[in-house]
Amino acid sequence: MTEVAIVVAIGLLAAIAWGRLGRLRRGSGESWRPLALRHAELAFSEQTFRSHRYGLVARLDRAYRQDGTLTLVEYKTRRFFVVYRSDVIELSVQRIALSEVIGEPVSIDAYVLVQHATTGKRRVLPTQLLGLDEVLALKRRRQVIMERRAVRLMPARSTGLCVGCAHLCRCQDEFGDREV
Amino acid sequence: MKRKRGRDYVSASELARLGFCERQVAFDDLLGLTVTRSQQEARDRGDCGHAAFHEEGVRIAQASVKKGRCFIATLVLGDCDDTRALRTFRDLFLRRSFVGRRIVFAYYRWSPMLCGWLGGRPRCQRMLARALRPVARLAAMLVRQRLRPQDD
Repeated sequence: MTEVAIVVAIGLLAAIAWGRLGRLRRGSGESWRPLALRHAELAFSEQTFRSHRYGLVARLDRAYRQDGTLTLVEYKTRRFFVVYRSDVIELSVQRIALSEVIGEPVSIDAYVLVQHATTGKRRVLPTQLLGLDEVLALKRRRQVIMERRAVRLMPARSTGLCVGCAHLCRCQDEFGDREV
Repeated sequence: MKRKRGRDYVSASELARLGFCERQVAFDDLLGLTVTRSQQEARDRGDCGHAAFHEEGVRIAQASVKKGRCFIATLVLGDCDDTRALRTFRDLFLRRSFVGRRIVFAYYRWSPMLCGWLGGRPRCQRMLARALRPVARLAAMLVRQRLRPQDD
């Protein structure tokens, strides 16, 4: 009875070790990949795409292909594991440009891979992208700002984000709602 | 005053800055792009990270080629729409059934050898390309049918 238990235990340990070894081999630097992209193939890395139709240009970090759909991954180095609205906008523009050039469907779901600035630890965060109309509205909004026609300019979401901004003093002088 | 950049293309990062702070965009446009030391440090850190991330991607792509994941269609047709259609067909149809997966497995197993044989025979490659193109068109048609309900 004891011998059988020992054999079963050794067998279990061997199976676990084999599984881990396989995972390490498969992972080879991509252990951060989310479950949804585990078997996807790398389709594009650091490539620029232009949407002639909408006048947008984007350089994507990575795109993976699975089941005929491309999924975008944006890489960021940060002190916090967080997805900002700017990431979502960047990825949304990439989506529009990529789908126009390649002609394949690009998923509305994307990922931001955040690498911690000091520890180097990586975490992948899922996000949902903006539609075409929202991106075009942003483009028009930018045009309004550039032409100095904007009535109200939106500040950063929190004053903490203004730390290190070169325009902090000027912004406080003009709008009076920032902390210098 | 309206600024012209190339053919009026707006980059993803330019638009993304709107999501961070519109005032910063307006000030930068008015006074020129100003970068503080901490911003420059963060930017350098990001550039280094990106370079490493890209190298990692290249390594993965090379390892996948070494494993023999890029075969006959790529050899005879190149990386074109037809090859992409066949690849998508593989993902959408073949990989979803047991029999399909066996076919893909057998293809991956034997095609590197066939590619090696075809390598020195351009006439055979041309003949195979002629035969593969209609198959790829059929695959593209099936893929389009399958993906039709996809929303934007």
